[in-house]
Amino acid sequence: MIFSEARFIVFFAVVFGLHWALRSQRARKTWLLVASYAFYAAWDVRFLALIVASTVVDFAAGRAMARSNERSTRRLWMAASLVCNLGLLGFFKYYDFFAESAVAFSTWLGLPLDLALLQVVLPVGISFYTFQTLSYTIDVYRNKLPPTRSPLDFALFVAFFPQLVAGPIVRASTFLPQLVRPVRFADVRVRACLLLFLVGWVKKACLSDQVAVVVDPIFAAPASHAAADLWLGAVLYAVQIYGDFSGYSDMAIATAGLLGYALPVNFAAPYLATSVRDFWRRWHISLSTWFRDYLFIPLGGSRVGPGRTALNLLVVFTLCGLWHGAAWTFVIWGLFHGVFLGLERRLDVGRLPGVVARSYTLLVVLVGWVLFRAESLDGALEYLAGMAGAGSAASAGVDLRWWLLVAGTLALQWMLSAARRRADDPLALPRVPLPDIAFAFAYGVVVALLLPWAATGYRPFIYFQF
Amino acid sequence: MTRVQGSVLRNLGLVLVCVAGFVVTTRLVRQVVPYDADRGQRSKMAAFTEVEDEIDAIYVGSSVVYRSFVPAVIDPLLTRPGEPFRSFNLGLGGMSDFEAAALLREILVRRPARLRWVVLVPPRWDPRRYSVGNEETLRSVRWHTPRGTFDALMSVALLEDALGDKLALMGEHVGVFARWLGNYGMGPAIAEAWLAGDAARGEIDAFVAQGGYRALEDEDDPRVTKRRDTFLADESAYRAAVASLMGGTQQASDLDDFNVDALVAQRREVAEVGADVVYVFPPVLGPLAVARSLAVSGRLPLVIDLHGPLAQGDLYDVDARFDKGHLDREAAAEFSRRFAQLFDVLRDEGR
Repeated sequence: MIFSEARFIVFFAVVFGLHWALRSQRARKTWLLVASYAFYAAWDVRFLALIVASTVVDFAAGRAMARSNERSTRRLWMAASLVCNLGLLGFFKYYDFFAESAVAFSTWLGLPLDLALLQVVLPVGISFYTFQTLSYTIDVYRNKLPPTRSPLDFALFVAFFPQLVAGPIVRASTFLPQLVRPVRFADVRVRACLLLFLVGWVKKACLSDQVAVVVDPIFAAPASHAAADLWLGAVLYAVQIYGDFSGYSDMAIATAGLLGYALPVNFAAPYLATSVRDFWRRWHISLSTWFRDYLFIPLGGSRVGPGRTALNLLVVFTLCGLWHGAAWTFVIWGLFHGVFLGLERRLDVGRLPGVVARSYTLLVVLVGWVLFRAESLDGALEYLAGMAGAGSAASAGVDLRWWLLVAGTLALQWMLSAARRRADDPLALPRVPLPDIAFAFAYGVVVALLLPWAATGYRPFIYFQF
Repeated sequence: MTRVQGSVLRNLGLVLVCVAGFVVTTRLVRQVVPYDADRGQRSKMAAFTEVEDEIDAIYVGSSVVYRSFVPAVIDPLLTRPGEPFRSFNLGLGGMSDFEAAALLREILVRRPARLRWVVLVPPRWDPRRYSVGNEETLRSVRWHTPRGTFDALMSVALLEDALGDKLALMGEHVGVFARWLGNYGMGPAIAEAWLAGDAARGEIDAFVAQGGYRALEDEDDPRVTKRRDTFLADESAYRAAVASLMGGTQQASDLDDFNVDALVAQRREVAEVGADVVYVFPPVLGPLAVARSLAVSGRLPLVIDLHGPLAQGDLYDVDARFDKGHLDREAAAEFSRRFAQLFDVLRDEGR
């Protein structure tokens, strides 16, 4: 069940109706937890046990750390949480990757290993909820967050369905306090939520899914496409992944908002960034800030020497790449960004004129997306060589419509960025000067006018695979 | 009324207003969805629109109808002094019974002034056969109106399949209905149709002149040529199919899974505009077991039987076929002559 499907609308209508019909806060939270588990079970009921296991371990770890003043005991529970969470993530997501890589490396050394591949199915959203629960135990361990006493609150924090399978990655320090306060429908910014949901739906269904039909065949056979087509494919993939992921985030934020809960901003016009560093302040913000706060800063951040800072960046972004997927293409993508972030610390790109800075950033990001999207490293190199004009295929002819769509995407980002009244509040959208009844009618009209522009055929969100 | 109740009612009212805005707009948008964008369909409908008030009989159905009924042959045979007769072939390749019913309904709403006869091949109302690769086509979406979807769902309910399969099929139909309802994904088709402009004048004139008929020999679609080549390359398979049909033409079938209600409703709709349905058994390779059972049970009052190699042997000759499912130009003319003769008798009996 994905947010852009009709059955999600039905599911959400039921959840929303009963949520606000219940009078007690505890009953509402219980209902949301049941709905969240049902939402996840709709993907694969078997993996529900993983979420429950992760919830139990981290709740217990939090309580145990709260009870103990012994540093060693606290460290033990912290280690238990890390081993459990990263162990599950490592087993389900990375075992085959590391096993394959080890076999290939040992074969290259002439000492072939015989490691069996498990080919386990990747549980949807495991990368997201693992990082969420880790934020809790780490913050409790650091005494930055008092551990919750409520298993219900903690379970809902882990499984809250709007952000369960593809983020934004919500920190315990952001979400748990919201569960303590009673939510009131009067506080819900209904119009802003409805508008943001619609914006997210347009990004996903009308932008991302539409361009997928062009992108997929180009990436599937780069050698049979001319340079112009390959550039188009790369640019359209940038549109696709932005529409896909930021669209999902918008819908998640709006859905949570309608239930009375706030999720953080996750995208802020990333393709208008003026440097790679700026790009990571605007792209998947909840992930980049997670890596900053829980990895980069503990490694010493930028308070150490230039060489060590560069190394820290490489480590963080390599792991960031690996977080996105168990393949060398993702690792190289992360390293690629890490290298440019390191370079930017030495070269002052902030002094570049705006157009030049944006063009440079877009170019780096586009090349990065080729690494990210390609099926293999060889495929990525073949693609990049083709973009540089090394191929001999004739162009299929560039359709002006797609470039108009690209321009539309950039314009949309600019408009959304300009319209948002507060950078830290995704629901701070401009007021629509209409009475409620006119707004309701207009909303129905706009939805009816937009539905024809949705791409037909089901396409799951790209970020679910991470 | 408490404040909370008032608030709930107010919000429900706003939801209804929102739905009203949605429904009104989708209805307006639906007017510009080019449902007739398929090859030849737009021209044929444009041609029919130009002459619809002069038409006494229409033929509605799949390519079997399209490639068999030749108005240029039929009309002179049925014209009497002072009593002209004009018919129009609305057949279209791949038209399912549900699509034919929807098209017929659209035409009946327009109440063509002289329409007296609607000629159909007895429907099967098979909700599975419509969808082979066509679930997402404009034509498939077109007939998934509330009424068309209801008929399809009722037909699914009557199937003797496993419950899970039936629910999956129902879900498929409901999904296509949702596309119809919201014009989901129709934007590019609307834009393309708008850019393409109206149907070609020459093609419309040709359809007016031919009464909607076009021989397969006149098609320039390479897939049509390929189909003929395939047929000619393996005539023995066709002969074997004809031979197996010899013994089975009179077989009947039980009607437990047949949507009788849809058939009755269709006849009633036609009767409401003062017309009658004539059911034709065409010279196809299938045994028409359901159709025969319907005829035996009295549910098909007006039948013209031109089916079966025993009675219509020459129409089953390899030489009479363009491919295994369709008559060639000459055989279609001969079929039309026979139809006209039988129809003439039936018409007199009807009086």
